[in-house]
Amino acid sequence: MTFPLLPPLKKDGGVADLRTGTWVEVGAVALNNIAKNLAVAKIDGKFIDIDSIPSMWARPLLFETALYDEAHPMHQCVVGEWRGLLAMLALKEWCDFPLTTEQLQITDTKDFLRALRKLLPKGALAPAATWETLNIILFNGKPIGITSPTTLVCTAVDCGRISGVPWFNKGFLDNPIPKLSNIQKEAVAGWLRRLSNDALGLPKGELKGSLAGLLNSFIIDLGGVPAVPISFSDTGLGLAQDLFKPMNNPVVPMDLPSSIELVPSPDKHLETILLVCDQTISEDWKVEPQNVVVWKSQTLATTQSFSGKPKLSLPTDVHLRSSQDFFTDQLFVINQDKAFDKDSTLVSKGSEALNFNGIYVTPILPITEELLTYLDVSDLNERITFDQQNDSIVVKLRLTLSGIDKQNRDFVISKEYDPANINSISTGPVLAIWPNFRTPDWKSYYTYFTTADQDTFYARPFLAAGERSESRTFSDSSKNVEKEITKTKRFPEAMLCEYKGVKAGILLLSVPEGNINIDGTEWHIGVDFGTSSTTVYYRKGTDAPKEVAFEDRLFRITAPLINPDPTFYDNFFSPKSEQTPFFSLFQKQKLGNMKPDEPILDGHIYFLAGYQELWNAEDIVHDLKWSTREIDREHLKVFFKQLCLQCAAEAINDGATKIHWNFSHPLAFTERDRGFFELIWKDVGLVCEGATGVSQQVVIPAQSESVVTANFFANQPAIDGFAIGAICIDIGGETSDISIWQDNKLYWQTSLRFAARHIFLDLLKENPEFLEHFGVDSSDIELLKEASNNTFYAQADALIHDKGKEWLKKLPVVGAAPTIQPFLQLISLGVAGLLYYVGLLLDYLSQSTADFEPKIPNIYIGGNGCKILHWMAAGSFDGNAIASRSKKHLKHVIREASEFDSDNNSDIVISGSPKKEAAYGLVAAAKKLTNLKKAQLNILAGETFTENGVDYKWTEILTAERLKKRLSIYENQLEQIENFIESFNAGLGAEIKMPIALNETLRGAIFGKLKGIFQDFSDAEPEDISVEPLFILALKALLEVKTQRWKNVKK
Amino acid sequence: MGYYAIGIGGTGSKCLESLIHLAAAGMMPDKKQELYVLFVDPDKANGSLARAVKTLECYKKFFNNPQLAQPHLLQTKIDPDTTPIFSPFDQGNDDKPDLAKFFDYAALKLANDGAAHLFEVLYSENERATPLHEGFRGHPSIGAAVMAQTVFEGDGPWKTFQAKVAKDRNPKIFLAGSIFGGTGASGFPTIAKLIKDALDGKPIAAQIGGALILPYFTFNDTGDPKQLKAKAEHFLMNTQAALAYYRNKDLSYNAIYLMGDDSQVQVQNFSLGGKAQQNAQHFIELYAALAAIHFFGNDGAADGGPQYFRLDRANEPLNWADLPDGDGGMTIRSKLRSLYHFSVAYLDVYKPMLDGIGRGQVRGNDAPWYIDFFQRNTPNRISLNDDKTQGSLNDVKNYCEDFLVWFANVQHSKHDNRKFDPIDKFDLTEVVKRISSDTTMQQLGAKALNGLWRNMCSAKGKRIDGTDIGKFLNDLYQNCEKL
Repeated sequence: MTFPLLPPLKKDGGVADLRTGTWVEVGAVALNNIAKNLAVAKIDGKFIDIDSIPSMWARPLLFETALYDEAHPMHQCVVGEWRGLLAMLALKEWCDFPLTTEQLQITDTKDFLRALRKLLPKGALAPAATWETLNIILFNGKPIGITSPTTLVCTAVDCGRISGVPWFNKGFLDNPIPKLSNIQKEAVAGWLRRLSNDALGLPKGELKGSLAGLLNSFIIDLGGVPAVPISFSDTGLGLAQDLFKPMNNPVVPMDLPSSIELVPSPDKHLETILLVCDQTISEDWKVEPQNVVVWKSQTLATTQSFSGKPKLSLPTDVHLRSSQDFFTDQLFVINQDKAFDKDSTLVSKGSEALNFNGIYVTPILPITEELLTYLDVSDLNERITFDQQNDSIVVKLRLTLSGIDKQNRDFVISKEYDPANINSISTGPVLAIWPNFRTPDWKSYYTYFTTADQDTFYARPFLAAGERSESRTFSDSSKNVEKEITKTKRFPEAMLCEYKGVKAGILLLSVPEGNINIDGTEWHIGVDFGTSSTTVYYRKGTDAPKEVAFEDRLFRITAPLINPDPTFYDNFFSPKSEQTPFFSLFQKQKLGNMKPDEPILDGHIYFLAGYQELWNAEDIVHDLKWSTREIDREHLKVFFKQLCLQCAAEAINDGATKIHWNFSHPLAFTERDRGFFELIWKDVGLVCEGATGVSQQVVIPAQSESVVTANFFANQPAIDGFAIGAICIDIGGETSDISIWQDNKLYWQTSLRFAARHIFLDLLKENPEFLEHFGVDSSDIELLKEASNNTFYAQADALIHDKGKEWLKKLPVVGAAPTIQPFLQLISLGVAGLLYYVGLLLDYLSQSTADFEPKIPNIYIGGNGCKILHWMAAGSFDGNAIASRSKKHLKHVIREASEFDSDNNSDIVISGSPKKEAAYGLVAAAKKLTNLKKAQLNILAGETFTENGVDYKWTEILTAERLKKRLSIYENQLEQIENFIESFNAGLGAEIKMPIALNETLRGAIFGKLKGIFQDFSDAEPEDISVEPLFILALKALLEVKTQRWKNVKK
Repeated sequence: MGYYAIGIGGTGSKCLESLIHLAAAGMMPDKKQELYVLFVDPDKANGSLARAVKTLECYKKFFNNPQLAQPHLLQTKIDPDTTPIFSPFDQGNDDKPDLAKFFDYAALKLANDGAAHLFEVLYSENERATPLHEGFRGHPSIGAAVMAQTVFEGDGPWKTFQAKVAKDRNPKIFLAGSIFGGTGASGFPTIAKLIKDALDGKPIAAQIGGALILPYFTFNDTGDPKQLKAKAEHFLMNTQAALAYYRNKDLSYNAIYLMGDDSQVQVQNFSLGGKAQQNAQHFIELYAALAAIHFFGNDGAADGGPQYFRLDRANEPLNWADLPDGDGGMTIRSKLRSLYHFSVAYLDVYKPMLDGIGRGQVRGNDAPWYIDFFQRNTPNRISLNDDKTQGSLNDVKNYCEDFLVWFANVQHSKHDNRKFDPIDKFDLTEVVKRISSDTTMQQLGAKALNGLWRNMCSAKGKRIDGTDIGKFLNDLYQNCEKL
């Protein structure tokens, strides 16, 4: 037995025994024998760090040795790298590998190259191939290998720069075959076949035989050469030497259907494609990554990325996302159980039992908005699941992808939010949409958001691609949105949420079904737009007119903190049902220099929650009807647009498909006013039709308020027309509209700017303290005192609306008090004066109209101002003794004015539906009333006067042109006023023991006021003059003076 | 004809250390021929190199001391006078050179040069950036690059070597290095090629031989696994790959001697390099030295690639008969035993006695050989307290100590339970304890020492060439040969 002077050898003894104790020449083959028989432990080739070749060319030399020597410990590893690099060259375009080459000459020009040149290897596959010219193979511009004259290619010592190559693993290129799809295998095999044919066709080199074997076994392992020839790219890598030319052109990639295209909901018709890339898809589907096509020729295996998702050259209509792209970074929860309205929002599975920091919470779905483009909200909601896992919350999202072999497959992605990534918000914002229904043609949806001064998240409607919205946004000094109103054409499917600039996810909404039963009926809507309030009635077919009630049509997403939440009144639609009439108030939005145009966005009808709310309300426009300011006219348009929208909402919900709009105007309107109103209604009608999809017809010309009020009374069953004649008076806020009928024929109609404000409210305006007698709080009285001219009427109306009935109940008790009597005297004077003028009209008609019988018919008084008559009658104008006496006295005044012999036992009837008469009358069926259009508006002077030095009687008809001329009072005589006062004193004055003493002082004061009015007429343009009877002007002056005196006496 | 021995790396240095001791013992084929030695190591602080250089210094001090001249001991002249160490980094100013700096990689990269890309293909970032002042970290591809760029460049030992060889018509150049490390593995083929290239076209019939040392030791490394360094677990694999490379390589050698050991003795303290890298001497290095002697005494193949030599042993444990001295181990056994006995006797008996006499603690008459060699037979009495004499005696002492440590370690280079046991009778326990803490040597029997004493006492300073102390040393050595 001998002992070789060698390192540990294998036990089977492949090294020959020698003579002992002496040097024995063994020949060069001994090197191989020793090498093969060394007792080398088996180690995975990847973990071998062999560096024992004493050459600068150690890497290619080792590569060569290991590649061709099957017994070499690194053989398998190097074969893998060799195959891996060849496959990369073959599939460069297929997999979009960023491969390039650069040629390098090994010259003496630099120290490094000079040293390399000293140790230049000698072997080559072909005689012409040389180590002096190398091609460096670059990946993303970084070297990963070289071309080798002995092995075609050789990988770099360190290939760590490679990424996104499926057969690159832990710093090494592997045998690519397990990572290639069948079609890719065919492509590589075809490329290798050409390489083999061309390279082996070169003059014989010493290693060519070994290379042929390696190439052939690679092709065989790939499954052989495909039957169909593959195509080669025209774009080469720049490999010019004969040996390397066959590797120059990669395979042309094939287009394959993507496996990871998100399948949208059935009703989504999209122009874009969304690819969902996740390396775990293949594992989840139990298929190899190379069989999961990402895009065209790229597969999940070739698009691995260490930065979340691969970089692919995709068309602009194809979007690639990683699974985590669909989740927000953080989960936001509201510290309330069921913080969102369960009927308005979709509740995801598991979301109702979540707990964070020991309390039940409601999550905002931590899903990014992009999926809303592809999935409808119900579908999306069905795919989301919440799962509480101790302190963490796991959110799962099931996506349906295009799958493999045309079979869709589900893929569940998830994200775990640990406590560090969960943010709790104490409360939700105010969030609502109007209206709460959907029809195919309705195109005006308003979304209201406000923080209501809470620390909460911001939400806005999701808009689909190409969808536009219009918003008014109001932010605090830190640019955090405090309030926002957004108008969209579609009902929002979802809300996008943010918290302090961070995307917080989405809320999915239970979008209304849109299955309203449309029966094709038509609505006839009458709008009485009054000075202080607006009334709306509608009629379907031959039905009796009904009040239009604006139902609460808010779609509330968050539960309100206060119900009803006052913020809605100040910024949006009313949060509760609203009946008509409602106040003709408009609340402006703060728009800067922008012209208001859009309802809700630029301002809204101010529905009054309570009279005290008005005290604090900002930006209220009160005088919509009569203001001639341009901005107020714009506000008026917006007011009407909202009115129409809300009416249309009600009509649609009643099944209507068409609306006929009827409106009235006081005869006191100037021509310009009338024209303007007609234009507004036409415009509003068009806008409303576009916004609601409901056909609109605006009935033009508008009817006079006096006629439509008369129509109301004529339609009352107890009256049933005016065959026996009638006088209808609608005492509104600003005007009293009068019509006179006989035999259902209209003989006279007029509109006086003498109504509730002048008779009643102006008294309170001058002397608010008077209301102390009715128990009104001193604070409210103070506010009335402080109110401006414009706001006073609105606030007084609101107060009376709230407290008026209560005051009337007190009147029988307090009415006889000396402090009350002067007030009653004044309002009685006003009412009586109005009726005196009516008496003058009767007198005039009897004198001037042949077929007009000189008799006093029943007098029907409506309008909000008719309630003043209740004040005259100790609380009620019907039934009591005072009422009877009041009627008697009033009829006396009429008779005195008309100079008729008797009052014909006529009655004075107060409307049972004050203020609703005009709107009702607008849509009520006409009751044989005739001569409606022929009865032109004429203004009877009612008082003597002098015009251009000529004296005229009270029977003159006034025009703007005449008023423009400087009028004056005839010989300082107010003939009719004096007659009126006389008749008043005989009746009502005596009744309350407060006659009017028309002394010189009072007379002078009245003259002075009239003189000023005449001057104003003279200064104005005729079209701007609202023609008023001289009697009424004198009566108003009388009342003003008397009121002033009453106020002063009180003090 | 001259002998040229080049030790490359730590193992190469140790082979030269053994060769120097064999030269001291008179093993060189032609003792008249000078031996030119050259150490190649980028790590000049390498402990193995330092020890070999110390041996060389001890040898040269002994050899060059006129007071110690005699005809039998240390008969081979070793050149050059200056310390012959070559480091590839001698020319630079960088105390921590690396490959990137060596080839100005930064400039190549800045210029986006293809050469920079090729650099990255051939060398990893770790290889490019690791400091090389402690060697090539088991990566001969790095060493090859550096060697190719520096050997025969500029002034230094290679210039001297080249000049020396240029005067020698038949130089016999022997290189020793390990195949599995960094410096030796890179220098072994590269330097031979560079020497051959340098001599190409000159009228010099140079023969180049080499001892290619295959793995024979191992070590435990508990350091950072990511650090660039030689890894013992890869020694065999690296050897396998390197042998395959050599097989296909057109080497510049006339003769290559292959050797290694299957016991893979464990090195006590592994170090990347520097002073801490001082592995104990091993009998494989003795074989390498014997290979050099064999090569110096025989010509290798003239053309057509090198002759490859290797050797089998007959014994386990190793025996003298397993040492290839052409005489069944008898010659080397005899020569090493004589030098060994001489060293022990000198250190244990005679040097202490001379010191005692010099200090007056021992009477000269108690040591008749002292009277004979130092007083009676000399025209001029040698004063033992004379600095020169003390220096000379210490030169002998230093070499003997160095030799004994080497020899003790060679003796123990196998596992403890497989000692090879070349020498009977002498007990080096005390000696080794003093100089190497080794406690396992057998005792030198009193009988042997008594015999030697008697012989020395009767030697009476025979008339030989040499100085007075030289005669004493000569007689002591010759009497030791008789033991």
